[in-house]
Amino acid sequence: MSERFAINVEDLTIEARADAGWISLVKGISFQVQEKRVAGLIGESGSGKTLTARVIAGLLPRHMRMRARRLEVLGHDVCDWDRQQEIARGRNIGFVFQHPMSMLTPVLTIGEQLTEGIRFHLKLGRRAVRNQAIAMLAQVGLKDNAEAVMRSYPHMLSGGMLQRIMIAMALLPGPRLLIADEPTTALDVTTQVRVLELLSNLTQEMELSVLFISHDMSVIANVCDDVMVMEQGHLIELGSVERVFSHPQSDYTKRLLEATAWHMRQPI
Amino acid sequence: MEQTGRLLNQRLISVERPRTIVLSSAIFVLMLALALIGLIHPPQNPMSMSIMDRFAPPSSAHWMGTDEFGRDIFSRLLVALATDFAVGFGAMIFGWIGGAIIGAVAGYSGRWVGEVLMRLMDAAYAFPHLVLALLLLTVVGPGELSAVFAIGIFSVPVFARLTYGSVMEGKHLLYVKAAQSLGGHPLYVLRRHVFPHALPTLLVQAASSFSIAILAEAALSFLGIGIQPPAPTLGGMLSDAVNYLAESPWMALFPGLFLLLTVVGATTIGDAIEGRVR
Repeated sequence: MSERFAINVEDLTIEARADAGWISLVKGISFQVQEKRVAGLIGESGSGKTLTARVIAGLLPRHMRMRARRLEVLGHDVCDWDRQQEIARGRNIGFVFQHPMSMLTPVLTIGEQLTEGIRFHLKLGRRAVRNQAIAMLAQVGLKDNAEAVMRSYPHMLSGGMLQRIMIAMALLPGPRLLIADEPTTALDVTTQVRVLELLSNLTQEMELSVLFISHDMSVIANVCDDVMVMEQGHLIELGSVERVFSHPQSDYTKRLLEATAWHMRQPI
Repeated sequence: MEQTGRLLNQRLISVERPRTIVLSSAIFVLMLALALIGLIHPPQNPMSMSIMDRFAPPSSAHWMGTDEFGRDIFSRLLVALATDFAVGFGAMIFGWIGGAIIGAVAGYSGRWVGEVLMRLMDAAYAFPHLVLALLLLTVVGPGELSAVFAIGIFSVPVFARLTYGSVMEGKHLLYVKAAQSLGGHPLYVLRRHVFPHALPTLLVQAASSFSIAILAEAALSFLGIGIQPPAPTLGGMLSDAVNYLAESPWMALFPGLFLLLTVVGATTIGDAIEGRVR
């Protein structure tokens, strides 16, 4: 039990059921996320990064199974994840998803969904819940319309606003670990920048440990302290952002960086 | 932010109402209003008999004529309508609640619990409905509450099957996963996030279950094991009319017409709702 690590994973394997037995999608990866640091997990689609994040949050899909020599989240052993992760989920681990538009239930108001986290985990009066929600909306930059936002339904708001709301939702119960799974992929470029700024400011303010998943090198470079590169279920490189970006070890990382550089050079 | 405010103030776009929903609502509301009059204050005492007025044809005194005991058919119809509405509505609600709970739990839990529950529902569904209702009424005895129970129980599997399907589909939606990630109790997530997905389908089914229940009640009363005479019911009045069909056809005509209008009204409302929610 080491408190220094927000996430401590050793030899994690995740397998999916197929016609002929099991296919492993994540193949024995090990990594640590230190407390109060932002770790980026990067890789192309299908490399297993989302799956890894889901397992840490206790959201393994039903047709899959996992095993690990060690899987500790916030100092708790969650290898036997059914019971233990129920306790940690939501309260101590916040999760921000990729598509804010399809992550909010269309028939419930924002206010109701936003406050679910605290209503599930903390015994508070209605007014206290409401005040906290409004304060959190102000923190994510929705101060002026907080009341109106609380009353509205998801289809009435833009993608950027919804992602801010998702962030507020994840942070409201006061988690110590935030898992952000491609939080800006579904947003346009300008909104992306604003949401990223918001995320880094908030995580610094609240002293959160963060696991940030992305396929975009430039995003990782801007937001993260450490970076881990995944390719086809293997963790092929990890280290601080400065080190990996200036002296990439593996060919795959070099190719990723080159692709990003090429992307940046393109005339608009 | 100003733009956002404008966005929030915008009303939902109003949809033009198709003519069918207006017409069917009109029929249904008319029948409901007649039932309410029957419940509160029928124009004449539906029980009072008069030897002088037996088999009177429709007239200004008796708008729809009288029956073999000289009772006013219009007044009896209003009271019968009130009873049938109550039984039909009660049976529909009974089926809705029972079916929704069973179907939702079965669909959300999946695995063997769901399998067992749905196989039980299939077995109940496979049993002939009227025979089941006859059997139940014979066991628990006639009366309004037992009619609600006997008729309602055969719409339970229908609602259960529909809810099951919608919940199976709804539980894999991303926003349900998101609610689960916040650590909500499964029953809470099921009730607030998954179940609304099933509501449109259930609403349509409610309309047709209501008309089926009205018809079933009429059938049971016609057979003489539903609500007992002298309390008037549509089915009971039709059953009385059978013997006098040649001499006093109004005895059968008006109860039949009321039954028809009620069922058509309810069914077309269901169709209209279906058109709007799809």
